Amino acid sequence: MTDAALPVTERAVERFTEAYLRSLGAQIEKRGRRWTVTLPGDADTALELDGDVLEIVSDPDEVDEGVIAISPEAPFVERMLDESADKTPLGVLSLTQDQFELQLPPWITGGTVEVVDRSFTPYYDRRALCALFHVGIETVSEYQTEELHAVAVDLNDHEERPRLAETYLDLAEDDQQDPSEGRQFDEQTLSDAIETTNEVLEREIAPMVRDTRERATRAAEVELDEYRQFVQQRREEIDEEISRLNDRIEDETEAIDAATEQAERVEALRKRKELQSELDDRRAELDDLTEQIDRNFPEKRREVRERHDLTVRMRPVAATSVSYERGDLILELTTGDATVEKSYSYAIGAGVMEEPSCDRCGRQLTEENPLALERNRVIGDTCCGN
Amino acid sequence: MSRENLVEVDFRHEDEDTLLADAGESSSLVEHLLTVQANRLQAGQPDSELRSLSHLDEENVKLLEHQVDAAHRALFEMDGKALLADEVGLGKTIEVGMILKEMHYRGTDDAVLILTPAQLAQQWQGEMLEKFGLDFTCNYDDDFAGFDAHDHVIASIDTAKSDRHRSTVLARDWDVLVLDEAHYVKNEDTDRYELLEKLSYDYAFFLTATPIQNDVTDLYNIISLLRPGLFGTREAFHNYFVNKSQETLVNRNELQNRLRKVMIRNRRDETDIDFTPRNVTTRTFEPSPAEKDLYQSVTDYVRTAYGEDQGQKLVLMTLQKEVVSSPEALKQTVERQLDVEDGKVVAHADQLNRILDCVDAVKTPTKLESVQRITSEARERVDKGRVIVFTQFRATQQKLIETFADQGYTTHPFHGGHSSDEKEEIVERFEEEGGVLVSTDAMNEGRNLQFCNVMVNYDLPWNPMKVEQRIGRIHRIGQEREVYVFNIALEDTIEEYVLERLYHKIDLFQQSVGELSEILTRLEETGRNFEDEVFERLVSADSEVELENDFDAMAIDLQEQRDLADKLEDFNKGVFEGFDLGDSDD
Repeated sequence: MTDAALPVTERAVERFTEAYLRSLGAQIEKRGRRWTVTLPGDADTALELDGDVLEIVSDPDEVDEGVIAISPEAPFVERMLDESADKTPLGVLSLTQDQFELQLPPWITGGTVEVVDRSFTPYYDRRALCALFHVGIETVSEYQTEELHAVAVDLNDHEERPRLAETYLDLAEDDQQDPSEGRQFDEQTLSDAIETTNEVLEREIAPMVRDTRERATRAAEVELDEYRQFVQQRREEIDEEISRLNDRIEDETEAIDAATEQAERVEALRKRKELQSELDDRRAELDDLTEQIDRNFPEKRREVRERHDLTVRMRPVAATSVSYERGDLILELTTGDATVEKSYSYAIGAGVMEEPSCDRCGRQLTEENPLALERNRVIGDTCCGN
Repeated sequence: MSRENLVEVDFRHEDEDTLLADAGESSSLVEHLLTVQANRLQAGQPDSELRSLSHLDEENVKLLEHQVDAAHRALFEMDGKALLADEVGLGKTIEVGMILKEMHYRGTDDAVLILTPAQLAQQWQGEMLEKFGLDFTCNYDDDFAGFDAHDHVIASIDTAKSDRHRSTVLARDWDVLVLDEAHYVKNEDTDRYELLEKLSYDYAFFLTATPIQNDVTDLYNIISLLRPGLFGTREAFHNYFVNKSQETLVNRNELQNRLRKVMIRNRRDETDIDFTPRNVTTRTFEPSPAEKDLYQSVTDYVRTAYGEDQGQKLVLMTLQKEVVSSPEALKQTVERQLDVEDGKVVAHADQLNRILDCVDAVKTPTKLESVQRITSEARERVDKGRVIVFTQFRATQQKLIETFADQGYTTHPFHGGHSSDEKEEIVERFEEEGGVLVSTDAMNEGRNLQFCNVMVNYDLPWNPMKVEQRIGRIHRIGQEREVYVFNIALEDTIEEYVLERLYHKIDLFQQSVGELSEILTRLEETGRNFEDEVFERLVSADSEVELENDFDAMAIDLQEQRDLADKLEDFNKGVFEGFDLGDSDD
């Protein structure tokens, strides 16, 4: 899984604007940071440009009247992005060795071994789905997070191909590249492929979801604690109120006994009845609170849980069928004293597909434990090198 | 209910049908990739935060609010073309460091050129590396192979405009140009201005505390390099902003409006910079008869040798510095002078041998006794008795370490021969164990020693910037105690002249780095170098009286440069008084 969001810089916006307008068949005459743009009448767009002047600026409010600002957050740029974002969500591309230099992993380049020769022999094509997903996590206790992730999954073994996702994003960014087109998915294949990427995505975002859930749980616990304290405090208040009411009822009883006049006794009786009713209410409230405490606030917990529950929304916004060549990468390696030829499983766009280990001790070769040679054996420089 | 299931997670897969609806249909790959990009840009944030700040090591650089603000505005509000015109001493170099760090973080710094006055180039190089981890090649480096051979270059502007390098400097497209002390490029009729005008660059940051040197046209010239056209033609600028009859500024509000787009000026009284007091004590001692003999014999030799062969200047300067540092330092150099290939005749071998005899006659150097009095006092009165003793020479350092160790002090030698990790460890041990750290000027590497507040200059560099750098190791933002600096010198020696007549005249020990660099740059502009001036005066004086007069004359000259610098600072303050160069409220 790769974070696919791009920083919205002036340069990025400028490049995108030109590329998008040209894809619509626009004629662009440039004079410094001002462009005069005309779109063909039949262009597939809601944008209307007929000799309009666009200007690249840092502040959209800076342009002269009638000039269209090109800058991050400029209204025209936002309209253009909205339109393009929905326009062609499916695509097909094919990666071949003619387009890419063979990429060596850090466990080779990080060591002292020199690669004298390299060649790639393709054996077959594989297909992968590279998809962009909006991932939104909603919870009341935190800001809602919106992220864009790129996931690449091989459709044969259903394994994730992170480096292929990176290559795919690089390709989208680099308008100089010319990847060739390939075979389109049918609906069923695409549906199955998206289901697979969904699973990978869920797995990949699990740590992020877990972190968010932990924070949400802490926030919910704080809320429950506060409620617990409130209930406790309320119970103490009610206890005091009950005691006060009992005192007052006793006073009224004494007043009834001591009354010499009928009216006076009736008034005391009425008052005592009122106080008794109030006392009953408090006792009921106390019983309710005590029950809540005994049962550990089930309703409040439900209410808190419902408020704090996490909703993780995953929405695919673009999917690309990528066919890529797989085969063997043959390397001639030398240290000056020894020269060996090694062959590694390799895929265009995804790099070396295996994780070799030290022939002597079996430890995996990594950037920190790069490849070294011992006669014709491959060893780890850190684990078994000199 | 356990803590885990208090909050539940609901995964929802949405809107797949929209995608599936298009399955099987052919589509343009170019348009599809644009859709991918559009989604990525929609998910991104407008990029106007200094994202590299969190990657800076606070141990190495403490950023102040006005500096962060200036870097942010220069990058994002001024489109990467700005005149940083803070008042002296507010850290314009730090602002540029932050800007360059951010550009590095964003990958927009493929080719960077920093042009500075010659005497400040290496200081820039050190600061960029130590405070920001930015590695620049300086034109004074041994491995400097020209302006087309390195991507990150710091050079003196005069080297860049020289016939040898000019064409390669101009042949490149630089991503970033930084120009320090930009007011020296104010005159449009000079080679420097022409070079700047022809340089190709995307982003530019010019630094000066005094954008206006003579008249407001200076401002026009500097700003026109940064933002051609901002002020229109020179004539239009003059007509609109200068009252011709009185040569005063008019239409200040409009000038302020235009300047706001390109110039940032922080004022000292608006920032929260706060230094603890600095207490400087100079102790001069009468040398012993043996030391007097030694000093005289070295001075005589240096004068004679220089009179005959000026090519030996560096060695002779070193000898003159070593004689006031320690007999040990001097001895090594003299022995090397005598130790030439068989068959070659050593010039003035008799004088050199006499120096060696004099070295042997010095039993206990006076300075060595006096430094122990300071460390002993510190042991009583300062936390963990921490004292830093600076010397220029390794042999002196060795002698000091031995002496302190014999006296039972915990000692820590620090010199350029240590690896970076070792240096780190030494500083950590010094903080933890206390005692005396004896350092060569290799300590001028951005080390943070503010846990110590006592420093001794056992000998004095003739370059005042180096003295300030030494003091700057402990007297910096974050130092909470009063700082004590002790200078030790012997009477009637070059050191006493430099200390008494020069450094004290320009109030060196109370100057900020910014003020000092201004004075030095002014001196350089008149075609002179501080160290050379000191040496030339020493060797050319025929008598004690003449020597004193010479140093007095130099001091007057320095004082004049300082007064001029002060006047300019005041003048610029006046001009920009009332200028709100921050964001407009409207």
